[in-house]
Amino acid sequence: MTKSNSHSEVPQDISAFGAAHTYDSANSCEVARLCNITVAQRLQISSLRLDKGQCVHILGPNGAGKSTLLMLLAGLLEADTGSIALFNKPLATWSLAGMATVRTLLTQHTECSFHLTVHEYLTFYADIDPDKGIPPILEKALEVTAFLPKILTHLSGGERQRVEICRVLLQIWPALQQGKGLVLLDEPLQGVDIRHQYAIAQLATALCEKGNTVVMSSHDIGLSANYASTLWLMQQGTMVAAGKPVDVATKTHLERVFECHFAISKHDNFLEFQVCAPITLE
Amino acid sequence: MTIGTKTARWIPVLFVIILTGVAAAIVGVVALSDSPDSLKQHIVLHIQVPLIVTAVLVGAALSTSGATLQVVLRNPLADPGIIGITSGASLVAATLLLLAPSWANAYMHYLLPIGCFLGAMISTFVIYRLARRLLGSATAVILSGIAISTLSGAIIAWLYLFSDANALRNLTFWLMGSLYQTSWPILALGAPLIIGAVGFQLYIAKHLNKLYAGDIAAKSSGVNVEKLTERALVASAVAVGAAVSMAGSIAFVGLLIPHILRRVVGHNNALLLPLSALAGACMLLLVALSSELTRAITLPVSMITATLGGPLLIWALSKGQIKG
Repeated sequence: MTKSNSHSEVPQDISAFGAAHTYDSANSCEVARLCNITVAQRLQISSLRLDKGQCVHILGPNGAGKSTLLMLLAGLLEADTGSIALFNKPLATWSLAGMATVRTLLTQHTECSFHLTVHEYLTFYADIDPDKGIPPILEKALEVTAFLPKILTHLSGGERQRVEICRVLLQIWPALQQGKGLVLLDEPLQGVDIRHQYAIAQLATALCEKGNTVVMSSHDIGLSANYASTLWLMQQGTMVAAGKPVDVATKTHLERVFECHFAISKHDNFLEFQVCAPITLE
Repeated sequence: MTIGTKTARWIPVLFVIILTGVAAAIVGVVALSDSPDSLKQHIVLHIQVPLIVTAVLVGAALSTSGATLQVVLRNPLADPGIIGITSGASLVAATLLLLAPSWANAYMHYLLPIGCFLGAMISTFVIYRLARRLLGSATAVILSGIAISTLSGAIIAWLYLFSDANALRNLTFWLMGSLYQTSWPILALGAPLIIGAVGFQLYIAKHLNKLYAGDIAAKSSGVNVEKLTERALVASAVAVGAAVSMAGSIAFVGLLIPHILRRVVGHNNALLLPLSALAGACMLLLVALSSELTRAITLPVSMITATLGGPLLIWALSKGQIKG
């Protein structure tokens, strides 16, 4: 495992979280901005800003509102109150087709009752010519070429997840190549083996280095703290902390949110987490 | 798994050859008989050609709509009959054939198709409303379709109790489908509806591909799922409604043709839907030819489609195409 969160060249003023925003609203660095958002029973966020090139990992217990936040950022869920801007344009002015070329969303639990091949499945969503093959960087991280002639529903859970990630990224591949994409992934590491977990985390970092923005939810605190440029820590629909991993993944924050005891150690800039006292059943 | 694109290009050509061949054979059955020329001409113009046009339109309408419904409802078992579009038409047909006063019989030829079409539209509307109100999912459409079908089946069964043998026979024939009920005026009304509705389905075929990964993925990739679903359902209902009003209730074509074609050309709807239209037209034209050749007895269409379709479906099942 290598340390890889020192890549970001873009200014990260996300630490302004919760404070009044003093930045220029027409800032070209801004990818998304949320203001006074509430979604009944699920989410309450007073202010949140996402910048170009950020690799954000969202941490939080089940039901913390991670998926809801991703759906909001994707423009696929309407908030009860508040405003959302995507690439400096209010969400209402975006068309579904317009958004589909610049942002993409991986959801949990996609099912398919048809027995189509992985190749067919990918061609239905991809803008590029899949006969040229999967783009090298995707193939390196996801290794899906061998699945292309297989039936989608015959794949294992983790293999299927890699195909889904590939589909989602191919959807906006032209934008990703230009460094203009926004990638939203809801638990992309779910069901994936450890080698591909790190490959996917590295792929996210690599996409961000090109200028794209990635927001993904995760349950692996150790991986996320080391591969994210920014961490969002959520609990019960609110943002507990947002900022650089060293500032967010602290003992105090984690113990408050996850209700477990943590031991955090640092070796050569690499953060290591140990859970000391998880829930006991007595 | 599926055949290459190069081979796929020849499939439509093959279907068109079958279509013209069978159509020619149907006309040939009469042309080669030893009747006088004027009679031959009359039969060809007023029986054979309407028969051919009906078979082509009805076959195309049923199988294209079947393919569309299966994708839109995310259920490989969806069929215009199974999800209840035809149930409203059957109910209207039963009411008209069993209960209509004798003076209405003179107009039955026109009353029946128009009534059936309206019945199909109304039942689709009720099913869709019910589904949206209760659950709002694709499965809900199928469940409420089955509920409405069961209900109209029950009402038809009650009507049986109060009707005479002759009316019952007419109804039984209608319920099993017949390609000989149309005339030029009915075709003039029905053909534009079917051509329009099937054409629209072919037009949206490419967007249907995005439904395979689920609603949210489709929306995320730029498809307005609610609008697309609604339009696809309306187009299928119009096509099936018009087909049912022209030829009665025909089972299985909508389920069978798309399934077998998926095995050959894959799941790309931009390819599957037009080929379904051609294959469905071929199948009903073959049915028409077989009933022309056995003209001594009138064969109900559903009887032939089920006889052909049952074994084909079992074959598709055994190849593992249709798993739960």
